[in-house]
Amino acid sequence: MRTPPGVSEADFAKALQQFAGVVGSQWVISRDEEVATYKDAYSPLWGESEEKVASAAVAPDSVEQIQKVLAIANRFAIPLYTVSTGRNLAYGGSSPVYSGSVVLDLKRMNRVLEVSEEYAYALVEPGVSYFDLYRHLRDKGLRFWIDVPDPGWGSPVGNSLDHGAGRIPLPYRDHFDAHCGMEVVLANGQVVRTGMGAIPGSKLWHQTKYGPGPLIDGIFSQSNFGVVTKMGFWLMPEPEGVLTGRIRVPHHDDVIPFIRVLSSLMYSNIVDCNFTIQSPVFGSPANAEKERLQAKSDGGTAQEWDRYAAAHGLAHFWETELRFYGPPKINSAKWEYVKERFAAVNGAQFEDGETLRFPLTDEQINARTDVTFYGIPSLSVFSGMAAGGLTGTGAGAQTTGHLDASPIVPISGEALLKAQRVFNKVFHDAGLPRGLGFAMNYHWRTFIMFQGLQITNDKEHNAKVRAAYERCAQAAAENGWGIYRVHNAFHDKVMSLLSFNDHALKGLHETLKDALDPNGILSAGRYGIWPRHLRRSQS
Amino acid sequence: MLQDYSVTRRQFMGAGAAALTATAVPAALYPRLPTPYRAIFDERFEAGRRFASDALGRGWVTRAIRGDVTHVWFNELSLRWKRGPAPIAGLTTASSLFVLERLSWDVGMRVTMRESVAGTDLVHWLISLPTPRGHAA
Repeated sequence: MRTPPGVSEADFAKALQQFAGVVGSQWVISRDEEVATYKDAYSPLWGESEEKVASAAVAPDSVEQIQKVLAIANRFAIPLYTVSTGRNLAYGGSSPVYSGSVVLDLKRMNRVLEVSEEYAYALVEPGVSYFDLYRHLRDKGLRFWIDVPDPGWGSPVGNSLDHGAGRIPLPYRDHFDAHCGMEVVLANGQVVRTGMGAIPGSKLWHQTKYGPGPLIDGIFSQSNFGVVTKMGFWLMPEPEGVLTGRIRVPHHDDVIPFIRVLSSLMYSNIVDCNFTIQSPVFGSPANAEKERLQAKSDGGTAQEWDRYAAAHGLAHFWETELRFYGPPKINSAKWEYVKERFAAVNGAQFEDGETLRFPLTDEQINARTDVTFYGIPSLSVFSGMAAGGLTGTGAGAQTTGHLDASPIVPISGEALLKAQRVFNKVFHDAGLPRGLGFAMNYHWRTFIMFQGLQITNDKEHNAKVRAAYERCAQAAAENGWGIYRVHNAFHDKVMSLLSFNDHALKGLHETLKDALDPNGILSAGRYGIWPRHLRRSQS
Repeated sequence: MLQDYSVTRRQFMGAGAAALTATAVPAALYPRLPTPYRAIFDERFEAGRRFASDALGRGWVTRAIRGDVTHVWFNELSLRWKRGPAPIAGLTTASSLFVLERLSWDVGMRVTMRESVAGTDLVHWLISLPTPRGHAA
């Protein structure tokens, strides 16, 4: 059994014994083969000495048990690492940033505490998964949608605290933005409720984010300042229907007016769906001519790419699919208006898509592969990729996982084209296949351009992947862009890029850490925030 | 009372040996194992369909998937596992097994047999409770 750094075996044994006294011995996980289930199945450090691994795990069932666990951790200086359901694949899974930490696993706190039909919100604990909440709503006959990520086995609390997003309209799609009110246990065991939740008996905790005073919720996301034990989430009333339409434009440079019109419609709330800007030209399989153009210092001129598209019989260069959610009459009117606006883009073509009415039947749900666009959690993302996870090196071991470098760029055609050139060069220079490269409006007012990087059991390959990931982050920062969410192997690197005014933001984070968690027991190193006693050695 | 679904180490070792030579249900093995709650096969592949055919012949309840395990997990496995562990067997892609394996961890089960089908991305597997002995091995 591994012990946390700086903790004696005797003290660790005492701490585990005391944890067991609080949560029950079956909920203290310390046998190596069981602790191994907390490893990151997609770790870019797989099998290496730097791989991030836990020493044990403890799974409390209540706020009171968390308070007692924190008291023990403070007493013995045990580093804890909090996870909700611990999925978070491609961003570190349930593995701690600081190797040797004890995972504080909140999976047993899986109660849907309240759903308000009148005010359209749910209050949940961290161990509630998207599937749990979906089932709860369905079983109770409540006609609400939740927004779900790909895949839906994670938790609303964990995913929103990591700034995850999904598919249905805003504000629901941005999971942290769709939360309203939280309860947090601080490192000293004190329980805090945010916003109007601080008023005893509040009737507004999950109706408005603001209370008198600072809006404090944000400091508990992508951080380590407390253990979030409850969160309210706004629910989207099930729409009557969804209408789908597709827009295509013929030439390389059409992407500039195309996105200008689209973003204007988005800022006006005419278009509020999740959309992806795709290119059949860039998205088609590689060939020698395409490789040659992408390898050019200018990434290929517009004229060269248009000639390439024509030579390969590609009738259009860019396309997107829009969904309109609501009453059919309103959806149709919006789609007609969108067509009118896009008439300003030469050569724009439109294709009317399907119209769906809700609720969907089970047969309809089972027949579809795009259910996440309709608030239905799914695991189908795993069937579309070779992502069997890293399970060892013996016979039958899987050898695939992936890492998502997740840069975000402004919503403009110019930025999209530049980002494609920048990130293509990163992959080319690293000797890796180029990333995914499409642009999606995951969050409000930014494009995310996921760059998928395959992880294998080959350490040499993974070293290249790590270097490419860091270079992606660096290249993003050099262009004034950012990374929305970071695999825990790269928290320090990415946070080091936030260097304005001599890393003043990092200084603020550390000031907060010292005040809220002076012993540094909570999730050391998460998003580059280290407790005082570890700063010199880790940062 | 729930059936004891533990798999002994002997059964585990036997499973591996049998699966090395067969893509259908290993005839010499499964009669000694508890009946799986569900036998899951990927119907896109001939090996999966043969596995299902054999499983049906043994009276097992089979479920077809096409890569995605959502339906069988949400509608059947997750509900059954709320009452406690119940073993499942299957012949699927490694990705499908990866998902089921991690979901089964939540009820204390493990992949107790895992054998690749030569020349394919398919895996023949059993998920069940490990025995304490199995842990110690």
